[in-house]
Amino acid sequence: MIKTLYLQIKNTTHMQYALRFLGKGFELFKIQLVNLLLQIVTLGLYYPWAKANTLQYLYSHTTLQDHPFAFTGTGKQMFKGFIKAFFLMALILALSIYITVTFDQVWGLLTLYLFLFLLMPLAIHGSYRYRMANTRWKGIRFGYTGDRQELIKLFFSGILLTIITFGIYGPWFYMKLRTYIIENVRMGDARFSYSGKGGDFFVMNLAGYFLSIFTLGIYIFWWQRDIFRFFINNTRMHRNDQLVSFTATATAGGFFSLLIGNFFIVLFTLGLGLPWAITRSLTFVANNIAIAGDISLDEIEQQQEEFTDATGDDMADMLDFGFII
Amino acid sequence: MTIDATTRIACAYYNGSAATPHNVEVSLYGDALSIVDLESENPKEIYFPYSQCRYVKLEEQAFVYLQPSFASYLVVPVQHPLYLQLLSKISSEQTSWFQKLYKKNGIALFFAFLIAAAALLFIGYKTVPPLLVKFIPVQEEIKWGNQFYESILSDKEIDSSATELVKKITEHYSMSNQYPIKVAVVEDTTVNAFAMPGGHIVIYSGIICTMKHPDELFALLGHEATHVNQRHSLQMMLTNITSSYLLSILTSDFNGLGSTLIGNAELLRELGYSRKLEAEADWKGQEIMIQNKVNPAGMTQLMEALQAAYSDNGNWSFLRSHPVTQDRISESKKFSQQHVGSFDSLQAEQQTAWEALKKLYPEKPSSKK
Repeated sequence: MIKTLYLQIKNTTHMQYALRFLGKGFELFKIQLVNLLLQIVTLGLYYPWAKANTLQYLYSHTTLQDHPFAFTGTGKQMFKGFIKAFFLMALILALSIYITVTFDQVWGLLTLYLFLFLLMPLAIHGSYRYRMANTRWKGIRFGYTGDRQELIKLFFSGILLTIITFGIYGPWFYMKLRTYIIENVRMGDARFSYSGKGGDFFVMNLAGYFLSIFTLGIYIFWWQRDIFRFFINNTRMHRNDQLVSFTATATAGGFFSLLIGNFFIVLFTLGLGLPWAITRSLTFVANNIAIAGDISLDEIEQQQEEFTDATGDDMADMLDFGFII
Repeated sequence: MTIDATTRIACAYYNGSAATPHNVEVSLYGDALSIVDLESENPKEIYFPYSQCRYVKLEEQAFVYLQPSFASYLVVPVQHPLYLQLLSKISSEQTSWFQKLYKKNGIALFFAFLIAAAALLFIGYKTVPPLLVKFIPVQEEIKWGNQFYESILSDKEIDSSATELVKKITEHYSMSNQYPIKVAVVEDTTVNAFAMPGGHIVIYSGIICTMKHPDELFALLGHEATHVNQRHSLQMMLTNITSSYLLSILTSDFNGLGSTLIGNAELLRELGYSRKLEAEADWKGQEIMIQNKVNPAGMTQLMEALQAAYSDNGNWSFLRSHPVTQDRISESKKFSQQHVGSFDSLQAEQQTAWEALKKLYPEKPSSKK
């Protein structure tokens, strides 16, 4: 803790980096309207292109030091990935149905869950590789250098321990996973690190949970702030021996107006206001992360490879877990 | 001011291999722009067709990406002499459907969306389910029906003695040539009954309480058996699946599609059929009664009993899904009048079973307090 504080003080003396989100609710609304129109006409097949359009808008309206990020993935790549992921899922489903019919329902279900579990780390891995390799800032590609085998090992040992300990290991598992993933994220030749510990995360959530109950839910906004802080403040970027640190500046009051506001926007517009809720959230996140350090971003060099296979990303979509960070 | 093609104007350029800007000179041609990188060792003119370019306007500047890979870009400030011309050239070369539509007016887009959505739902509802029904073989339907039956009754208690009695009563009552009709009585005071695809009919004990005469039971079973024979339940389920697929297109959310199937089994309990299907179930049910030499007037009695029960207590689930309208009552009366004849009365064994059933679920005294 003291060390973290020291590093932050040491680094904030150098440079501040501005992170901003400039997207507008109405423009996102229009994009999604066009997406829907094209999806209707194509009976849903336009979905991967729609996803690309939305991501491209959100990325390009997020700026670091007044330069936008760019999402370089295309609908075509994601469509191919979608087809592959779809057939993989269909295959697994067919297999489990076959086992159910010829042997027994329990074995059929076991097969289904086993394969779905097996797919999860693969989906996370593939999703990160694709998303990162297709994120650029000032032309510099991001990357994900994680090893598939290692992630699978980490994932299954974590799941096993979580089951054995009746879920208590869960927070440690989550932090381990997060650490592994973030430490393998690259921005050109700069790398990221994450120092959030399972124990701290566990205590924070335990306190948050009980305090939320005792206060009839009012504490939820403080809890949200704590989680946000925990994720942001424990993240750092390194290049050679230079460092950039991230500091969350969000307050519980800020979370209150964000979440309650979004709730009413979506409620009163019967869901049509969702794009405004999204842009509000992203503006909030960008405005509440202070970035400071001594890496000269202009010196970062291209180092990461291209990667165009979107199967993992589409699989993550189908398994219904969003992007983890 | 007009820009001559040969005019070269300085601009900041990021080449995609390092994050430092290069100073380049830009010139615009008919269908491409060119840049000369003054800082490279060997400065030469490189061309980029407008159709490959994209731009993002952020505050006081535009970021002009020169390739679809977004690798290299120019930063063009608003006051730059090429700003307007460059953006309009790129904009006019955008040929994707998305770009074309995006340029249209927001309100027009919204109405186009509403019309397209309505058309999709309407056409989807009208054409897809009847088409799908044709493709599902009866054997498959029976198999599905069995699975749904198990999942829906997992939280309900089957009254096995009442079920046995109903089986006894309907021993000689043939309801279907195609489907194995199996009736189960569930202990529940709700006035309800429903049919599942493939032949399962579930009767809540609440509806038995409202009956005075065995013909009413035959009428109810005839009605529900018609839903099975005419594959109404299957059609309704397919309509639900279709609509959730259509809705997932509208909300671009494809995750919940799997759970729809399970959710549908539950819906059978609550959701009603259309009036047309109900009317069909009524008169075809009466035909079943006649074929079995049961007085079709039982249908009218059942409806009247249900209507009375409806005004009596609030547990009217069946009536919510099968509203007994005056129309239906008079239609069933008309049918009975057209089909007068001799009808068999119950055999002794069946009569005993009926009396035993009514002993289990007697009519409730009117609960008006």
